[in-house]
Amino acid sequence: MPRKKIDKLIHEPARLSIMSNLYVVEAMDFLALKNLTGLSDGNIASHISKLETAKYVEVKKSFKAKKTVTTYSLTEKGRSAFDSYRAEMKKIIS
Amino acid sequence: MDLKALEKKAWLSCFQDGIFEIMVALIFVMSGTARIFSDYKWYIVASFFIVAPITIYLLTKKVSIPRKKVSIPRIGTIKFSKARWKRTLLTDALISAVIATLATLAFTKVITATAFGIAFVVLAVYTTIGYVFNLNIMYLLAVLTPAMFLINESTDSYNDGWGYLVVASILVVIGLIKMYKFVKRK
Repeated sequence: MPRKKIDKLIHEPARLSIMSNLYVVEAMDFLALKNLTGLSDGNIASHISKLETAKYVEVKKSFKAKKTVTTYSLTEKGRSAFDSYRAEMKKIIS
Repeated sequence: MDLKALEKKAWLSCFQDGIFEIMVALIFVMSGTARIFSDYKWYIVASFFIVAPITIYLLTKKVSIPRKKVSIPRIGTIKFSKARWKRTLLTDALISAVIATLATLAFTKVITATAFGIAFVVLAVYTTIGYVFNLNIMYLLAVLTPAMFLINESTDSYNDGWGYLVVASILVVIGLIKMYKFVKRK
């Protein structure tokens, strides 16, 4: 049975870290994502932008006490892409 | 890829500031104070029922200031899944029930009759909370609180409200150390 192609957008380590951290929660802000992934500000911004373009991640900006708060969450498409990625990886490993 | 471990890591990141320990300590302070003063005038105890909710509210408000000023700028905010919140609400209800039972027992002084039973129940409940919540501090409380009951039981020489205050002091110290380390680290 032919295997599905691995989603290279998710497969990259930094993006995989972002996707898996967002997968286990509903949403988190920039600071929490930075703390949990250990990535730099620039890295997060560039990888999130790629994930956002693919419509895997939704970015919301709001204002709290005159400060911009950026919140990230996985879209339905992002969740199912991540599920498929995990399933594919499991098949490969087993 | 261990997603459960990732979720646990995200969850525990919200408890590294020591505020949870200090909040629990405040509840113990209130129980202990009630126990100490209940020997005096009935109106002190009666007023405590009115003062306590207001005090808790005010303390919560004050405690939420460090949360806003200290924790959130350092760790950010995370919105957890509905499943996690269901577990949290269930555990909160459990904690409230245990605290309410303890407070009632402290007020009515029925505690003397079944100290060993209560100690065992507290041990079991706190251990369960620690396991469900992934909070190691609850394991410490699971040992400290029953120990406090049993020490109170075996010594008649002093007012047993002090036992609550001893546990509260230990928790405050732990909370402050955690907060200090947290602020220094971030």
